[in-house]
Amino acid sequence: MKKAYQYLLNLLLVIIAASLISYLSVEYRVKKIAMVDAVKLFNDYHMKKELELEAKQVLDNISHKSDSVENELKVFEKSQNTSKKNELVQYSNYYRSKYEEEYKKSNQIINEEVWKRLNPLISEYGKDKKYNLILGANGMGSVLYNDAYYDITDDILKYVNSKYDKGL
Amino acid sequence: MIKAFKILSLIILFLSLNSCGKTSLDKSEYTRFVESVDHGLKKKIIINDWEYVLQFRPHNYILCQENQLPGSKRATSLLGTCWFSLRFKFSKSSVPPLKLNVNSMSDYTERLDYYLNKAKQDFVLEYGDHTIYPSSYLFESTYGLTPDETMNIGFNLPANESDIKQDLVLKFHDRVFRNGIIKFRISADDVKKLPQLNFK
Repeated sequence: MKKAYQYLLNLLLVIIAASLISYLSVEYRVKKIAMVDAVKLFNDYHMKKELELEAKQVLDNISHKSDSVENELKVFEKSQNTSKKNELVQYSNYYRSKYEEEYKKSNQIINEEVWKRLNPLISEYGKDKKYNLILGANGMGSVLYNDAYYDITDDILKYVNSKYDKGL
Repeated sequence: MIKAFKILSLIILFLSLNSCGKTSLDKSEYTRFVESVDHGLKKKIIINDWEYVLQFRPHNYILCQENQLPGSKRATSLLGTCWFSLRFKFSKSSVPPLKLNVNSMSDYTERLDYYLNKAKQDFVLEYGDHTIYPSSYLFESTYGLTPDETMNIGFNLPANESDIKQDLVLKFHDRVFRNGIIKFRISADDVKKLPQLNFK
């Protein structure tokens, strides 16, 4: 009876040791990899939305000026005053090109400023959560397929937005 | 032994109650309190090696700095306003931000003009549902003598608000160094916890 008890105890010890070894080997062998939808992260970052709102105000201002010139141009369309008409056409072209220029410029600045903020935050998050690799899927073919298991977009979005909102 | 322990406990209790009740500070203690990052009135944000330090400036702190007394004309002029100073520098260089990576004199002049005259437009204060734009702005030029620059910004609180009752969220859009919108939050609770100032 005592021998059987001893045998059972040894068996249990062997099982525990084997489980521990296999757990540790898996823990230290498996690298943590995750995927982030870069487009969603960029678009849903609160600072990006605020920057867009600021840019929109500038663009709306140009657009209003352009509209009023266009309206004035319509009034003068049938008029004989060609010098005034030419002046208005010039103004109209000026505001149209200014709008396009401002639109391009603001997009470029928003892109630069947002990624300048997001990149260090993503690294910080990765280090904090002990990830070995975080891939950014941008719809350009760098990540062709992933299942929800690797997708941490929502978590990382929550992290960056909370940091921004709390002023950290 | 038990008696000694009881006496010691009473002394500790007395001392802690005494220190808790000490809400009146002298000028230097008050200044240290306001300027300490532990009390939530000074916030530091680091973005890509750029360091932004926001100091909320309570009225009594301003009066201390300017050697004024409560009830003075200056004190009255501060009613219904709130003030901040924002210091910024590039931590990896001792070159002042105004001169950093500047290629020509006109670049420098343009940057100086921005901080003197235009940066005010890039500040906004969110106070509850209110969005407030600066009523006052001053850029402290150091003429390149220090590695940091300071902007002072003042806001008029919404009508009938003499005290800070809600969190203050100050936003600054750094257009020059393209670091995006830098957001600082000063909690109303931290403002309420300010000790009283003994002007004597």
